[in-house]
Amino acid sequence: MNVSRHKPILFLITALIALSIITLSSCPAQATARLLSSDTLLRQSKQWDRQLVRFRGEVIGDIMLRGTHCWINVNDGSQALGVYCPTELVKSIRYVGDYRYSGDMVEIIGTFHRACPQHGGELDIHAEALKIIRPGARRPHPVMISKLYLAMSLFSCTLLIMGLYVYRKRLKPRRNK
Amino acid sequence: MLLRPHKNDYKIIGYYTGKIIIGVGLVMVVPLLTSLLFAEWGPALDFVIGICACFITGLGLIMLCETDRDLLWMHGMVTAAFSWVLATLLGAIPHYLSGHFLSYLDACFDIMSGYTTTGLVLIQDLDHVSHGLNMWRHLLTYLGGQGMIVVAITFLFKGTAGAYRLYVGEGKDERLMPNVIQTARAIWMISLTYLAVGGAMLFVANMLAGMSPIRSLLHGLWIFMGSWSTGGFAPQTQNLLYYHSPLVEFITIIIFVIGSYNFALHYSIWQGNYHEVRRNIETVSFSTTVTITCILSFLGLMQAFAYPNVFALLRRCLYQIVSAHTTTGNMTVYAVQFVNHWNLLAAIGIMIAMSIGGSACSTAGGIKGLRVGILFKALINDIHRIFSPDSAIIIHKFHHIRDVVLEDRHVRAASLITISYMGIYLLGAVVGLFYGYPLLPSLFDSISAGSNSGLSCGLTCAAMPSVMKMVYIFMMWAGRLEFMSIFALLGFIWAQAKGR
Repeated sequence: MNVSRHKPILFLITALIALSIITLSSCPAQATARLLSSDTLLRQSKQWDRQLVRFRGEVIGDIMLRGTHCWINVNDGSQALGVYCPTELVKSIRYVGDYRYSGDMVEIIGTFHRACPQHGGELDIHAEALKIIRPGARRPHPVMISKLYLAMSLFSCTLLIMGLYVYRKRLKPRRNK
Repeated sequence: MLLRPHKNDYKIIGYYTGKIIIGVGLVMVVPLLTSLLFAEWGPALDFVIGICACFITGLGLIMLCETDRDLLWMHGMVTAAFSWVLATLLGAIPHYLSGHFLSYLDACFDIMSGYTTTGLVLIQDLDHVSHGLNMWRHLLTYLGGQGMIVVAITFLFKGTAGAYRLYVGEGKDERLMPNVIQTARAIWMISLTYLAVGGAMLFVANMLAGMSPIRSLLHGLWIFMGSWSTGGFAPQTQNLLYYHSPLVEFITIIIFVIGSYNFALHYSIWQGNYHEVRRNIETVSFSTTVTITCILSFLGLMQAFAYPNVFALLRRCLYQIVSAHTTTGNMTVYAVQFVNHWNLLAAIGIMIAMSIGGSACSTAGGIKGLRVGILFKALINDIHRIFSPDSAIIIHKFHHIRDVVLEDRHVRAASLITISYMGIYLLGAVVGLFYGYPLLPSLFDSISAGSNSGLSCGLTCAAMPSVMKMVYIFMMWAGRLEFMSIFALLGFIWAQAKGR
């Protein structure tokens, strides 16, 4: 067999294998992390302690910057968990959830800590990757007409009863005279 | 012979209840203004409806039951108990209309939890609640801490002896000043001063934690109200865990410890009597039982290898214990962690701390340090008597603002209330067991409701049976008013049914 003839092919295969190994080792999160809910993480915290996990939910409240890292809180509908991540990961987050907005839905891949030694025993996730899976949006809060009518009628009744009260109060000293 | 209440008795109770309800309506103006300020039109309408309902009911009662007569003890007690129920039913209107509650019962549960400074919640989707509703949640717990009747006495009552009977009916009996209205105003002065200082400190802490100025201000105000009133409410579902800030934890722990002290002690310190902190039976009792329960939980957590280092263990253990002991209920662990992460010994430490509670005539609930101190002194007295000659006269004193000779009436009163608290703790636990919950969560959440603590190990949620919600509402109410007013109300109803 003429090896020199197959040299380019062998080189290509070796390069492909090396590239695959490098790619896999540079992003182990995507390869091994399992998607878990907050309920599972809280109830089976021992089992998942220091494991790489995938967690999805809505970013709520604030993005709290602390130097090179920051804290976000991610709510999966059942419970919100604290996520500690490098600041550059949160740059893509546009909306955080509050009364006016639904926050961006994100997928976090990171190490789960049942009692984080770095953060005084807090249960948290240290994010290694963050992906926005659905952007947030403004939450509509239309004023209900029935509520408006109810408020107006009750307000009229209140004014009426207040008037009656004041009238009776004024009448009382005259009666006493 | 049991006498059936006269028409005039109803008139007196109705008249003063009406005044208190108007007070609740006036307080609702603050969240209404908050909603208007942040252009939250839906919640603003909810508050308009709530205010109108309070004014219609309050003015209606005042006009229907108009009377010049002053309150007797029975009227004061019954009015205190009844007005809390009516204020809960009316205060729940904006809660229910907000759409964050599954039923009106759930809304009433949260209102009673707020007024009684308990802190247990059934609210849904708290992370998307409006600023107006959050203001109402925290304001009612702040007012509940001082006492709803204290609010009404301050603004709506003229100087009457009856006002003092109402004040006592709310579970307070300390007179800081000769006049009860001046006493109520002194309580307000103390609370508002701390609000300004504590709110400012938390504002700075929140800014340092990375929050925006507006949110730092609002959250600072709300966390202060929740902590000072030992209510434990917070504007986010994670409670204090939301902030990931040791500084916020440190400030709140100081606030709720101060909030759990007797208003008479505050007033004494304000007058320059600093030694009172060291000598008062309540502060001595509090520091002793905090140390004991902290050691218990610390040992439990060490045994469970719950935390990776001593610093983490101390930080979590101390916060939870002090929060439980002051009956605040702010948490820096998730509810289910009490069951899954902490072991039984650690949880027992928390339960003992919750059941004892803070000081009498404070914002705190529970049996109270004063009663624990008196019972302990009585025990020492009895042991002393056993080892002394029959002819010996043994006198024991305790210090509470002044030196007081320990008498049988003090021990009797302390024992009666302690037994009543034990009774409601047991009641809640039995109801939990009846519905199939395990013993630990049943007892934990029952003690939490009865002592107005608000810590939960996950049992209290919107999915729990309605009967349990009603039992917890009763427990929060009875625990906050320290039973006497509840007994008076039940006696009043009984007299109506069976009296002549």
